[in-house]
Amino acid sequence: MGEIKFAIAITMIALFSIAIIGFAVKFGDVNDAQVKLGDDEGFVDASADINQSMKDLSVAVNSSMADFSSSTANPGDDVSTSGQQFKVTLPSLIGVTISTLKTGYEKIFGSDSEFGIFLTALFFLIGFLALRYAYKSWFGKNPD
Amino acid sequence: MHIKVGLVKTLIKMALYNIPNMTGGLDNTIQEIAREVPAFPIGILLFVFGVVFLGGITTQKRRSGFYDSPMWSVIASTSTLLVALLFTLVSGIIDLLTLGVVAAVTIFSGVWLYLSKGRGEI
Repeated sequence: MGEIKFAIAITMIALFSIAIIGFAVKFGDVNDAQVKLGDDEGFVDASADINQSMKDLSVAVNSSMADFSSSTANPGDDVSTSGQQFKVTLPSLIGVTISTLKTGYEKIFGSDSEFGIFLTALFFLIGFLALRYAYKSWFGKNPD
Repeated sequence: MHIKVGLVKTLIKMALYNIPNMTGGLDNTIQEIAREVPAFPIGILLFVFGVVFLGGITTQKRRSGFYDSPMWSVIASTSTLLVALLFTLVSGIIDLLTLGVVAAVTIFSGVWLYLSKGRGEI
């Protein structure tokens, strides 16, 4: 799984989460259900966070692409000195996954669960993968 | 249960729970069973998930030689979510916590699918 596929996967996770939560909430509202997922503040807040994160990402990517379009490369240039394009996409996407998984995790295991290390380890793994992919895309090699 | 009434030993067969009124419709039947046995709706949801998940991977393995667990997990959890949403239309079958857990499992299945290194299907 390369950087692009990884970014697509995270984005699809965000869209899938929004679709599932949105469908469940709307199902309860439209059918006047007795038990509504919309009454659960955790899911509603998570869905709003993901929506906002995707909007922020869209604005950031548009800005980054505008900068990239206007940039020039001089002969002998190997890599960009700032790596701004990698700082926009992957780290921004991680926040989407965290808000999604944290809500679901707390529903299953509870907020003060002793299995909290599971979620911590998962976040670390996703962040670690994102940084590795960004470095490899930036420098064209694995970190030393 | 055996009850001694005088010198007569009477055998009374008792059900584990009060038998529901089957003439009130399927939703009423499930509702009454859920009131007597609160774990019953959760058991139905687990049954739906297990049938779709295990049936799916078994059939795919037999037909194609491999199985895609994350994909069948998403299909099974989505099916379970749909059944759980139908249970929410009537009060007294499942509560908000159960619905939240089912939704969380569905989202986790999606995370598993999209982060898994499949055979290039997605």
